[in-house]
Amino acid sequence: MGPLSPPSPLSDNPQPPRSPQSPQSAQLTDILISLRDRVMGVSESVLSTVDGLLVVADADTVHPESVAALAAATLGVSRRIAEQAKIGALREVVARCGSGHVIVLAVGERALLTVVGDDGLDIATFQRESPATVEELTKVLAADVAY
Amino acid sequence: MSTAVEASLARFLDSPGVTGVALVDAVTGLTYGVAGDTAEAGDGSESSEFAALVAERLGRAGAEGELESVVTTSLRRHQVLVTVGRPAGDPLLLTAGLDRARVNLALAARSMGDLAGEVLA
Amino acid sequence: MRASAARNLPALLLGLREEGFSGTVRVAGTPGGTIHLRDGLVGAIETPGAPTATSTLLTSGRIGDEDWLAACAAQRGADLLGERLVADGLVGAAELEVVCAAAVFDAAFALSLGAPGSWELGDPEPALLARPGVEPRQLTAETTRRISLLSRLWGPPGELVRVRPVPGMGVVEGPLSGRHEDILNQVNGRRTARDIAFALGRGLYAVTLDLIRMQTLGFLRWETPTVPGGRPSTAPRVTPGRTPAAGPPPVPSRTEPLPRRTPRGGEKGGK
Repeated sequence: MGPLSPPSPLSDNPQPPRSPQSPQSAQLTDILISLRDRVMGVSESVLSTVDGLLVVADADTVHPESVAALAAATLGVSRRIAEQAKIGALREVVARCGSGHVIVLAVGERALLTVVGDDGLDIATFQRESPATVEELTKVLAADVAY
Repeated sequence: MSTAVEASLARFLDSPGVTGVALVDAVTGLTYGVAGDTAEAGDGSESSEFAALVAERLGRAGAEGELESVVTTSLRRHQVLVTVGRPAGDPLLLTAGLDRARVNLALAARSMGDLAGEVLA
Repeated sequence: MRASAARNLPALLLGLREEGFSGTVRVAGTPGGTIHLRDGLVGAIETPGAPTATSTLLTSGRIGDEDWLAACAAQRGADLLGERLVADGLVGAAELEVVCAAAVFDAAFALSLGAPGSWELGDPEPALLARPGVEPRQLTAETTRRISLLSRLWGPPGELVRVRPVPGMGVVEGPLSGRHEDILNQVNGRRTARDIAFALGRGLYAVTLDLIRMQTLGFLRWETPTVPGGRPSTAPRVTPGRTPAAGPPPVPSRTEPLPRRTPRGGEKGGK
């Protein structure tokens, strides 16, 4: 198993060039970037809807639209399995992998946050910081209620 | 600090004239083990910095490949630095002090090179 | 000195060495970590700030995932996992000692940058251990040496491990060594020295030294950590000879609604 090979810095980034963002999107992205700053080991994150649509992303190697679709499915299935087990409401889904982690958590009723972390993800700090992050994201998203 | 490393290093002391030998991290200068006289083996961080400097200069001068060894000679002793390859991980250095009166430098450097390949077993 | 009277972490470890303590020391901080002691010697340190011995062995590919899991399954007591790995021929005995010792020193260095706060002693927990463990006195001395060196070469090490380098522009000095090339492949303005260390399965301190050297040679630059608004610059990368754009792209005044699917007579999914 070798190290992850990222897109070369000067070329072949698979993501389309970023179009200018609305103030709301910029705020949301800033919250994601701030999470990466505050929690060691967070590599990238995607904010998406329960319908599997992308809102914003602080992405590096993942394809945000794909993550958005998968996150909705992941959380949906995980909620159902939690119901089966009758162990209370789902808090977060942590996929622990050979060289990293993927965490999916609900952001309010209609959105999801997917966080990709490396092998040294500071899970303890993440669990301490994520409620505040979720709350901040929820507040900014709430401005969308009028639409 | 170590036992398997020290046991590996102890074999180098069988060579006549080798007074002290150490296994050192070529990047951080950390010493992983010593056999024989510690002072004779040399300071780990100094040795690693010196080897890195030589490697860089040689590289800029057009030398190809990795640095294999450096021999520094003074009135009474040689100090020999030999690069130790690993299947994975940062390179290591064998640093050894040799007594000029007792050592045949060519033989000693050659045997160090040979043993270097097995030091991590 | 009694361990419970220790004023700081190094003093605590000295006290625990005198007592021959075997167990864990959980340290709070950013990063915090867990120190595994056996007879007062440091066998392993786990911290988000630096890769563990296990992490470097697996990430570098030295030991394959399946071989590793098989060894773990065969050897339940992780304290003896090292012996199992050697017995299975997955790594040399001396080689494993080197990897484990290097990881202990590296993690101690990372921990020291996290301004360790409170600590809590606990029972022994399984871990891949350096055997014999490292003397706390030696650990503290080497950590101090590393911090001094980095401070001389660059500046506050706490800042250095959080800076996010970008590829350099223009003149470089000399050829790119294999190790430096591996690092350059990870440099993209997002990753800190710590992130790069985890990605490559190398030590934090070693990567930091390489980054400093690479910056001196012109292979990379230190990106400013933040621009106004707390957001890293989204300026596009430039080729040598062009002026880099300054700051994030301009923001229009329209607010985007949250994307949503048109409902088709019922909730999507099984909620």
